[in-house]
Amino acid sequence: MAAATHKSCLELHHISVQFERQSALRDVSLVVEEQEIVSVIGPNGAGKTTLFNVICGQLKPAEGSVYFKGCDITLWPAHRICHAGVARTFQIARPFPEMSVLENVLIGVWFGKKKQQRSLFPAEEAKELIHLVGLSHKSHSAAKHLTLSEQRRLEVARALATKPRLLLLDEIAAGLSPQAIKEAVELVKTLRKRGLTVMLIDHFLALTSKVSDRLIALDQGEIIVEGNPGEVLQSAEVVAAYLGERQQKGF
Amino acid sequence: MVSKTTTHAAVLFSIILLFLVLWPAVLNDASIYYRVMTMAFFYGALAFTWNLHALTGSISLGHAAFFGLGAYGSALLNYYTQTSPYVTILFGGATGALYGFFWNITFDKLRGARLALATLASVEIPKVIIDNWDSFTFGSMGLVGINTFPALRFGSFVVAPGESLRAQYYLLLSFMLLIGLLHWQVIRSRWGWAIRAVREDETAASMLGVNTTGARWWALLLSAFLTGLCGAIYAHLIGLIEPSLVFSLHISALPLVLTIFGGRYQYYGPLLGSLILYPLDQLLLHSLIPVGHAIIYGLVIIFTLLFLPQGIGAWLQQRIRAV
Repeated sequence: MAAATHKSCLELHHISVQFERQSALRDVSLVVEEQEIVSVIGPNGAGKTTLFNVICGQLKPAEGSVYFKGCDITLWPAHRICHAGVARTFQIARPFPEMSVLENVLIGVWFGKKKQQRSLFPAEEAKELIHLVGLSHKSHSAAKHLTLSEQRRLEVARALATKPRLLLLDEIAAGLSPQAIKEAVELVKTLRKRGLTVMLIDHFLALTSKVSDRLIALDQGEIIVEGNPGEVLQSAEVVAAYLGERQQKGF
Repeated sequence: MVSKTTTHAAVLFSIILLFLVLWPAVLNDASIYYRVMTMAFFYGALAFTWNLHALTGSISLGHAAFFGLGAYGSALLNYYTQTSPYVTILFGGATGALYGFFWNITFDKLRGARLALATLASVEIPKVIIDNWDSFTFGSMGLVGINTFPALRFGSFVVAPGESLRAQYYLLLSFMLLIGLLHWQVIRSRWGWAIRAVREDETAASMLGVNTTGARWWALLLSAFLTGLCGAIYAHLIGLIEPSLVFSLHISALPLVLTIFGGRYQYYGPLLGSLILYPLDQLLLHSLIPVGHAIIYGLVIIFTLLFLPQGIGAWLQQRIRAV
């Protein structure tokens, strides 16, 4: 049905979010097409993670609406948005600490979809995903005993376990070694080949320039520039807002 | 390794169960044993029902509200309509569940210490109402002479829980095992996994498609219903209730102590706590220090939290695994 008519994967219409009278997002509108890889960049506090929270239903916007494959999902509870096909990872990994790696991923397999679409072989599927992110040797360790980068990989496996159509990756490259970043780039490319749409938040631009089709730069809750990576990174606004902030902070 | 642990646990459980079933036959005068163990089973059941809610990660200090409402709901229905206690106890459970429903609506956004305090405070509302509604509930005087459970006849075999301590003993043992079985099945079920995910990280769980609100709401409703049922059974077993008795902090706190001592996340945790701690208090400490024997619960909870934060159940499991 979806294939017949053109529908973009995700549309945000005039989203505004306020925290304690301060606006975290101001009139943000954007469109993400199917199988696109879009990066959201911006300095700390620009509203990148808030944007993700709105898309996946963790936070309800004060104004505006979110459309996923043509459906208005703005007021849906988070688990329903997940069932529809949106998954995310967290900036600071949030595994279920007392569960094993396998159990963590199994939660995604068991609950990520509604009954009719649920996997018949959950354990096999979970093991495959754990293999994909290279954690097979840790399947039975409790998640709390993983290193930070392992926890982040577990997050990716767990998010994929819900069989998303749109994957939101929040800073998966932060703090990774150059080798691990290369692997992450490959992983994102593989995911797109499998038909996923990916949105990335990337504070340090490690992934962005290598995989993104398009960049969206946020500053103080507003979109300042949008376009192909080369142009956006060169634009005066981004340099002022983003790189300027970095210099101030002494990076 | 898992199957070995399970086998050990099954063997241990069967031994305990056989002992509980057969031991009274050995005793000459079992009345004290019956009295103490019947209450131990009762508190065991209460601990299981309390833990059904605690499994979601929330600590309730207000389950006495469900207990008291269940006790009054059943006792008053029985008093005014003369319906059999076997039926009215279900109404008692429903009264508890209704109050649980209000908790769900009112306390939905509260977590942790704030939730615990809110639950503690919420006990006062039904207590004060029942305390002051003299014409309907007999107020602070309480209800006296509540009908006990009538005898059940199966051919020539008669079970008279109203009169026979032995009948009470075996009935409460069965009741506790039944609630324990339910508790176990909940933990093992798909819903149990949702509850566990909520406990470990609610936000992450909702992002993975777990209906976190549903998992929490149903856990509380079931827990409130069964706690109300326990209260109702208590009313008809003891035959006397008053607000200060059934809405007391003791009723809220004891299941918590027993469960935390036994192990919150083990399906047999509440059982261990009630079979070890309650008889220890009643049989041993009560005779040694008649006044203030309940201090044991305070000490035990401090000791457990300091040295066995996962409870004695988890500790035993590790020992068994090491064997």
